[in-house]
Amino acid sequence: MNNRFRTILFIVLAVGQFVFARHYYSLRFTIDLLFLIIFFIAIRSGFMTSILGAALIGFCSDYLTGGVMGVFSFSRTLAAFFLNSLSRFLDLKKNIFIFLLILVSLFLSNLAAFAFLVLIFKYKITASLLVFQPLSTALVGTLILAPKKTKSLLDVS
Amino acid sequence: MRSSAGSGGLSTEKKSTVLVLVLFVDLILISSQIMLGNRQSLLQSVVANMVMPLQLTFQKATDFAGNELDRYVFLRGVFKKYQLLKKKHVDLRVENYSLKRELRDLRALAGAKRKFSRFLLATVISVDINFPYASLVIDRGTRAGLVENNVVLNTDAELVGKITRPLTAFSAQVRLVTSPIGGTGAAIESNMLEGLLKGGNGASCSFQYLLANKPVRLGDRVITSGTDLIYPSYLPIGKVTAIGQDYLTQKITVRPFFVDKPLHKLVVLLHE
Repeated sequence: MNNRFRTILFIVLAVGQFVFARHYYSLRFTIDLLFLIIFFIAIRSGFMTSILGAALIGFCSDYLTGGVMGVFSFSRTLAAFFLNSLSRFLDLKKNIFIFLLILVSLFLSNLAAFAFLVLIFKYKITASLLVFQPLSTALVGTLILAPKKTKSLLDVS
Repeated sequence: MRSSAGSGGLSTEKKSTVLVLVLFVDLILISSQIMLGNRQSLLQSVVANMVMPLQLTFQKATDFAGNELDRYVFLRGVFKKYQLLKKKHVDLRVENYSLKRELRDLRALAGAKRKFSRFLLATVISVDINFPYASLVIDRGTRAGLVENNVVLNTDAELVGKITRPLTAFSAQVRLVTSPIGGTGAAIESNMLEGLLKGGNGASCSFQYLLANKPVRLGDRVITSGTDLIYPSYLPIGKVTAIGQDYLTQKITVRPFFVDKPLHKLVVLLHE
């Protein structure tokens, strides 16, 4: 049951991100639903799965953003490592910790990506990548994990 | 409860290795998209910079080995080549010498042809080392038409001497004008003051019976006067090198031209 729910949730998040990416310019709103998949994998799975999964999902992010291949893969791998290492010390039953963990990890991950994209490739990236995207993603992630039923299904403790 | 899939008993070192490996792959991918000023990606430049020293080392090593091998092979045959070149060099020197001689003969022949209608060229085959200014022997004799008293000149048409006995079929003796035997009717070209020129077994001759009524200067040319009925007139003999005054005559020393020139080829004037 837990695995089925998790798979469905991942598919929904992935499709949502694809749909969101197609309408990004019209919505004027940025969110990284794929990072939530990384988050869910990293807090519950082992090291290897987290790292490799994050790298693969990062490639998907690279593809969707149409930027430089490897940048988000790099930053998301770091974020997965960060989440995987830190999650065991936090009580994720409290929503504030979930919110803060997503916010901080995505901020740091985007900061790494920002360094590559802006400093090396001279992309024009607004503050939304560093500020609004982590906020919105953390909010959505917290909302998803807020119900006790969801926490139970995703085995978040 | 946390899933154990993929984490299992992985040690910290292995985890670090996996993380570094994944990040490294990402960095390589990123570096392949960073374009530098030379239109090459960062990855290409890094790979080129890494490979180039190896390539240069390999190239220099192969060049060095090749050169050493070539040198060794070259040195193996160098002595034989040296011997061949040495032989060739000697052959060329001999050929050069013979060609020079041939050229000199041809020049002498051409020069004589311009001045005399009937003559033949002869080569000096021996000189009396005790009396080098007395006589010499040439390689032509009666077979070539030589007779006694034929006039002998050098290749510049300057008087050398005359043919005397012994005269064989293939050789003849030439008595030089510097010989103490006999004499030559000569004159100072500038004032046609005539006298008898006699040798003294040295490099110079001196005038006999030359009157002191006309002045003679150092460097004046001396020519044959034709009064001895042996030498034709106006053949150049030499130049005045010393002048001494006597009571009625002058003591004039003359250095013949042929003395200061090599005597290889001689021109013998034949009687008409």
